[in-house]
Amino acid sequence: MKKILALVMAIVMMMAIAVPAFAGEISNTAPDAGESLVKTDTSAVGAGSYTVTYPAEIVIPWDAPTYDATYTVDTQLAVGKKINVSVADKTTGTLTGTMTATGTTDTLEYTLSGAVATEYDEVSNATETITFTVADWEKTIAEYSNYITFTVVLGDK
Amino acid sequence: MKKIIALVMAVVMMMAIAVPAFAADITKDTAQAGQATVATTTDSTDATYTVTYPASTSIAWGDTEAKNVNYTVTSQLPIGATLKVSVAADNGGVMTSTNAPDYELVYTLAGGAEETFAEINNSVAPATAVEVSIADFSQAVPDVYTGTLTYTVVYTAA
Repeated sequence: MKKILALVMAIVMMMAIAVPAFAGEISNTAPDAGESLVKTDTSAVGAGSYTVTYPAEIVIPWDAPTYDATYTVDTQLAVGKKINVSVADKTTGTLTGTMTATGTTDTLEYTLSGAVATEYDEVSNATETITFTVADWEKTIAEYSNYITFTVVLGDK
Repeated sequence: MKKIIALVMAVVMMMAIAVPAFAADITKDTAQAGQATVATTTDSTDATYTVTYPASTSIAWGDTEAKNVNYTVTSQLPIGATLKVSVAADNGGVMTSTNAPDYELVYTLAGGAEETFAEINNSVAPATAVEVSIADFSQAVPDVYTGTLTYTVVYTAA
């Protein structure tokens, strides 16, 4: 028992005198130059951050064969990360959608093109354009509407 | 001939063991007071100094506040001797990413110009604070970036 106690006390004493190396020293008995490490701490950052900003409402002028809308992407992601941004019609999940006239059952078809599926690296500042194409305006003049969906997926490169 | 050699050797040995007269005597035949000099010697005493600096400094991501990386000087030097201490940012302050060596982030060193310290100092900091800061994180990929500061000490004897 005494041996065990002595061993424990010895370990405790050794731990007590172990001093972490938080400082460097230059002295008359040591080299006359020393290095100090400067480093960033990302423990509070995680995978980083990103912002995709898109228009809450897109108004297409009547009879316009095509119409461009823009959205922006700002990323600051950890090394090896990326985001994918995709745009699609909310109902179909594809690049083709149907707008419905208010108060009627008339419809207006459109297609999406442009930056509808794009990958962004760790640091990006981009302005993207999606194009709405309405091939057939030979419809009752009315306010047609529908939703499109912007989807962001964070992943590894 | 042997007698002569023996005589010479005897003389040499006597000279070798002759002890210099470092003592003064007061006797009934001398003045009844004498003076003794008390002096320090630096023959075996070197200059001693220690410059202490942070071994490592962490900067939180996005934190643009300056971080103190001061050193302190403790010294006991011979009269007229000086210490000159300076701090430099290696690689122009460019830090490299741990996980992607191609990525870089730049920090700025303020202060650090050579300062001169006289003989006696007790944990004395430089007149101008030494600080590092990162002004812009916005275009950098978040990661652990590392750089190096070099602290240099030049001892100049009187």
